[in-house]
Amino acid sequence: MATINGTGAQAGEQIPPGKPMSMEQHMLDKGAQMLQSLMPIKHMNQHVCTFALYSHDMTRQIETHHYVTRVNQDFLQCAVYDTDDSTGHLIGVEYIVSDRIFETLPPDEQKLWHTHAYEIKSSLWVNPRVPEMVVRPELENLAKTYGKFWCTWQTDRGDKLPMGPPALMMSPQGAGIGVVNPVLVQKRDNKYNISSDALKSARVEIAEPEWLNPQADYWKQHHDKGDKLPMGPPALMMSPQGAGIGVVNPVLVQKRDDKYNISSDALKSARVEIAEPEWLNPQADYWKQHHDKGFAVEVETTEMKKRASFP
Amino acid sequence: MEGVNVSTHPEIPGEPTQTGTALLEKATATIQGFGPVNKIHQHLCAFHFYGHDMTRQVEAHHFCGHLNEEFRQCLIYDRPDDDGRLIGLEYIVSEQLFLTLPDEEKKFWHSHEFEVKSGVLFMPGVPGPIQRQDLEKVAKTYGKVIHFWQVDKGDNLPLGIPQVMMALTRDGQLHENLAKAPQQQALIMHMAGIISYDNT
Repeated sequence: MATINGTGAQAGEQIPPGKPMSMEQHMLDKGAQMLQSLMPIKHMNQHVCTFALYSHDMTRQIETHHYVTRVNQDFLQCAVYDTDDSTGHLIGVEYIVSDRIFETLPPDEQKLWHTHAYEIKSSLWVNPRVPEMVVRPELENLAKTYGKFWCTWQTDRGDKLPMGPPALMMSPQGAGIGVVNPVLVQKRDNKYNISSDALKSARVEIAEPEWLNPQADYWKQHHDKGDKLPMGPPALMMSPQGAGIGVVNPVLVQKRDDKYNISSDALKSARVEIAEPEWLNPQADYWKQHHDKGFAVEVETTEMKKRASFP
Repeated sequence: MEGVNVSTHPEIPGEPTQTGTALLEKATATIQGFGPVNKIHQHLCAFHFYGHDMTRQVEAHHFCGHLNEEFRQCLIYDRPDDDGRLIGLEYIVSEQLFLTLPDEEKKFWHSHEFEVKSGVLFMPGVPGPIQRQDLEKVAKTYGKVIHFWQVDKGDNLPLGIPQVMMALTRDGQLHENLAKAPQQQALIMHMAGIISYDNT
């Protein structure tokens, strides 16, 4: 059955596919650039690096690079990319409004937005290369804002081209399915040689907004609810693995370890002596070879066979 | 029945930018890198209409950069000046790349041939002969446009859910008698399980 999912890029495969820029195209570009003013682009004045989660699947979390234009004291518009260098893919757009503007929106509209307070105070949100002191007044302002972020290219799942309808994104939060995988954060921190933990302590002084509108971060009120009865067809499960999407969120592991007062890390060192199997059949852990593709059971209606065949 | 183009430049509610904020942002603009954005080298102007309503048409200023010879990614503004509102984006691919898309996905895309040949799509400020060279390439490409801000409705904020936009593909679609225009497959987006938005 045809789906709108990308075929998934193999490791090292180009996203997007296509021939390298020809000399002719470079010249045309340069020509245009010299003649045209490109004003809106020149008006972008901040680079913000933070994280976002897909609202329809909060386990999918991405590092984002926002190039921000401030329109007035209460409104900003951002072009969002998946990395900060010239190969960055344009993955979406985010709008940011002050709490004052947010309160004027109809409730149905508010459900599409997310809060920024946690993200900023926890230092997931940073302005690379700018000293914290310089940017602090801006952070204090932005901590009270709300954002609406549509993602139009899901490069995190390997889509080689922008596929499907836009996805609504949510912001990181402090608990539940809103927590960003620390491995992602560490990777980002290493790149910019910063420490989110250190910044977080410094940002303790940033005032919490007095009120966070409960219509925002919609999933908090309407998610995290387990199925009350066994629903739907069975879901095929996979085992944890050491890399890629097979890695279990350390937060889950910590929670389990705390419950039993054990340390997975300590046990892991002890278990080093357990022999690895000589061979792992590649048909198992199917997703590893087929680039993170799982199996979903689908149900379709069909004609019932009403007569037994004659023996 | 006439097409209507009543794009208004949204007056966003809010205070003017404070001096302190402006100065701060001057600093960040100077210190930080703008890698992906520095690749934006071209300004293209065209018209889009809503996939589900051809009578609603919007002027679209594209600011485009190449990721490679066959792929451009563009930010779309309602005006090309420093007060422009970021209303959407467009991806532009070569025909070869377009043909690799699954059929279900192709429905989101539109061809550029007519727009270029009719002169509706152009590069402001660039002399004819130079424009022609690039537009010849663009004529063979396909675009996927999503708008997030319905400025033609007079929305002063980006409300609602994203809209798939289409481009002109034959005579008579721009501001003229639309009765003869072919039915475009409407792509209505709704947020399942949260709200359903009335697009009219």
